[in-house]
Amino acid sequence: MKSEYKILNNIKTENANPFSIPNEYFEGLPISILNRVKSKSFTYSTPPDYFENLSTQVLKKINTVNEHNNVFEELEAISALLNSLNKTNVYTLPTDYFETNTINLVDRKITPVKKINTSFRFTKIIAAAVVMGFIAIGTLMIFNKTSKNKQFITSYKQAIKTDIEQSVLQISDAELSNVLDLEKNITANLSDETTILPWQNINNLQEEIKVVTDEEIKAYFKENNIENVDNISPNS
Amino acid sequence: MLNLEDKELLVQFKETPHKEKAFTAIIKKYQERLYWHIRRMVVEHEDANDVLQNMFVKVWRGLENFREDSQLYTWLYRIATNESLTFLEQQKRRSSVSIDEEDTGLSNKVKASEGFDANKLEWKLQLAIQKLPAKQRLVFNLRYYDELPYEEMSRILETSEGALKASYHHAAKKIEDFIRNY
Repeated sequence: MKSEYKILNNIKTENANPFSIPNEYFEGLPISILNRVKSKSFTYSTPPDYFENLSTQVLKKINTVNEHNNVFEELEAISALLNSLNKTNVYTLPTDYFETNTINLVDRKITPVKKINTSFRFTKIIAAAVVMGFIAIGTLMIFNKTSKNKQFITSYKQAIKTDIEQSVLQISDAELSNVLDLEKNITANLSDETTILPWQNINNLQEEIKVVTDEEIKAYFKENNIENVDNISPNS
Repeated sequence: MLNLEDKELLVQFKETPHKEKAFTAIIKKYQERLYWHIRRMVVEHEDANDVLQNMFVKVWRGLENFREDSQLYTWLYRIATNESLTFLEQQKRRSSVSIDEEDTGLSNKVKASEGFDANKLEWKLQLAIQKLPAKQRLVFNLRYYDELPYEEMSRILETSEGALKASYHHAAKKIEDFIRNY
């Protein structure tokens, strides 16, 4: 034990550190470390919250792959033909559509939605209520009036009907028979010529008038004592 | 349930100075996926563009009230789906076509598409998809192209997973039959 201790002591005193280092290593070390820290921070960077979201991203990818496999296996069982088809889009769309579309959408959604002032809205409600009130009252009045008019007309008609019925009932059978006989006689005495003048008879009369001279007319007036005969024009 | 990136965007959206920047970021993030989802339903680019813009306008108006209990993209997909179905319904009413004729209109649009080639399987597939009823078409597209899990699809379409699986199965069978006999 003693001999071992002696050997170790000799090594320690003869050559304290067997490893060699570059010249001025420790002088340059702080600068070297700082340079490395700086260069590392500029070259490698991660997006904010990268490590917080990493697990979510990885799980999402795993789920997508799993779902892709599920969809494939499911369809393989239903229709292998559909599974063999290319799923790429056959439809075309304008160049840079998605680049310009975002701008269009933002422009479009900015179109202001018309906001109505609360007090204005309240005034509108009151105005509408007043108008509705007027309409309701007016309708009621018209309805009442119409009902009254209808009632009046109905009662008036009823009164007349009752009156006529009562009058008819009061006429005796003999009186009615007399009236009917009288009507019969009048109809029998009326000749066609006196009651109705056919148009051809009127035309004949006009022709006859043309034949009569002025002297004959004047003589007719004198015979019948009609005055101011001279003032009567032949065409009148 | 919201992923961190979307959560951050929503926080920014609620702060007035960052509102537009956050909204632009949301559009940039989801526009392609949503565009293709809509385009496969309405076929023509102009129609897809109209529907996409309308849906994002609705997103702008409703985003502040978005309940963060579901994923943002699930909510966006649901709006895009509803907008597409509304658009197809309006188009059907405007042209007063019967249900049987509806698919003919969309098939004609596919045939009028740039580069259409009736001999290519990819185009036959598109024609076959347009023959499906609108809701079955949605189910097929979401599963086949977007590879969404049934769980997500169930949230978007508000239909049970079982019904979605059955619908996808029927759709795939119908498409295969169409392609084989076309």
